[in-house]
Amino acid sequence: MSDPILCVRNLNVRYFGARGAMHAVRNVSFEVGKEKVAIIGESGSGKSTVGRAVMRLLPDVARVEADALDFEGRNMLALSEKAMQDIRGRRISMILQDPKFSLNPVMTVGEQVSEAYLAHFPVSRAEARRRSIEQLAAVRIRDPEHVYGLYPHEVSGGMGQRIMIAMMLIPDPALIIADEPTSALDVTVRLQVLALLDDLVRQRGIGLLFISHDLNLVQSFCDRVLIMYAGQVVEELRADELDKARHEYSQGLLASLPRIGARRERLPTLNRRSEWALDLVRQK
Amino acid sequence: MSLIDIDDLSLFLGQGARRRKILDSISFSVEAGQTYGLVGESGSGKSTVLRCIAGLYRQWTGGIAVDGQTFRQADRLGWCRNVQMVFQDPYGSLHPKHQIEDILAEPLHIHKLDNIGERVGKVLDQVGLPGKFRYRFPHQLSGGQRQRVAIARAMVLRPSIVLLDEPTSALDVSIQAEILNLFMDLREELKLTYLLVSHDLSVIDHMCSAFAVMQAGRIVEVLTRDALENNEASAPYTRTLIEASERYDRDLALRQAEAEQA
Repeated sequence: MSDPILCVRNLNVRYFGARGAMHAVRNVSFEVGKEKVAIIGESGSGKSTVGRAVMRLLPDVARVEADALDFEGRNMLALSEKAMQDIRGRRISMILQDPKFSLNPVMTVGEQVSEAYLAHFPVSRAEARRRSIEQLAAVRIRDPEHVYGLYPHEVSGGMGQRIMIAMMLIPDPALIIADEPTSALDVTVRLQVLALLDDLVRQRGIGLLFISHDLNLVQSFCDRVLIMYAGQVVEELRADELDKARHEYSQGLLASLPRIGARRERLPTLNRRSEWALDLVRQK
Repeated sequence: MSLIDIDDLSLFLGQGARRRKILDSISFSVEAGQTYGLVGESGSGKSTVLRCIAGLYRQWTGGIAVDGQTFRQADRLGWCRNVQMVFQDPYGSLHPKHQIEDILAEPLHIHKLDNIGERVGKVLDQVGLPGKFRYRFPHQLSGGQRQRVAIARAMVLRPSIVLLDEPTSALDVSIQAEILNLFMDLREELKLTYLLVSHDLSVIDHMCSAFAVMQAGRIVEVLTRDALENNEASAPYTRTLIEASERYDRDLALRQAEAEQA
């Protein structure tokens, strides 16, 4: 892979709270090029924290350290909050799990897409509106001019997520971080939202960091997979070779998944071993 | 005669212009000891069927009968004791200020049963929770443990039918496996019959010998597990559902988008 968009080396996140320090992310290293990279893990494994650390969206009680956190060749940890504002939303955008909680309920969805454009480009409202309608059409919303004037409660979950994607895409980012973007959606709607993200990576050369707990989906959708356990990446694999995972935790996760046509009396359950949570060797 | 008989069940909700048909002549039957599935997307009415059987909706038409006795004739308390339900969200379905012991004892008080302490201890053991958990509060438990408490609350009345409404969709896959195994064990041990609602076809396939596929308040197809595995699904909607559940496929997405445009 030539020229990664995002390069992370030995990322550490510690939370300092009333009960002492909590080492939530430990020595995580990965790169994202013009491809679909998945981070999978269970709740509490630190996968969402990694996504938020990249965007520098973590609260002040979190201390983020890394040997490198480079986006398009710039060291993000050294950037001022003002410089970060130009990257956040403009060059890196984030899609969250549930459109119902991410859209402003008292603003039309079209105005929200326009706002995302106006925040980064000095154009007229009419121009922003024209661009927004184009973008809504690009995420395969039928009759975008009508949808522009709807409020979030008037659209379905799948359409809400497409609107979120339109909002994220309008400033033309280089990297999208999608945190469980399809968990709240039905399977057939999920398929459409994924096809949309797939096209963006293929056609616009965007990098996609896809945070998910759905192994089945990641296997057929992504190019590479990072498997996280207790704040560390325990294994990195090509997605089509997920079946050949060597770490016991990855194998356990895969085995515990019910699959159509693979009938078993009982599902194997994970026997968590304490050594999985021990510090792995730091990468150079 | 089957254990559960649902005959031409229809339900309208809303008033005047907002009146909508939620269930449209649903009929199916479940044999004793079977796990029967209802699968479909949000809004298809699958959970509503469970709510009708549990008596949470009363304005339906048609027939619901358990063991030959219809809902309308049955003694309400006895019906509720025999037909219990487990809900999706283990965070929302337990009272945050009640200890586990109180949560499990409440149904026993309602049904005026004795030996409450003993029954609570036994049911905790059956769902695989240590006895000391009876003095804890829900926030001191993990998601999987809370769902075990919700299961214990249903089982403590010794029902013969348990309605499962997306019981594992809020859980991680490894915890889901533990809970699904628990359901299998309890079914054998307590001679239960399950009606399982899920949007996840692989969970339905794992648990159920037969299931109905629902769309927009109707049953579009009834399939056995063997028919699913031998690729015998015939309704186009079922086929799309199966393909979309198995993996991400760009061509399928494009075909589906074209079909919607047409």
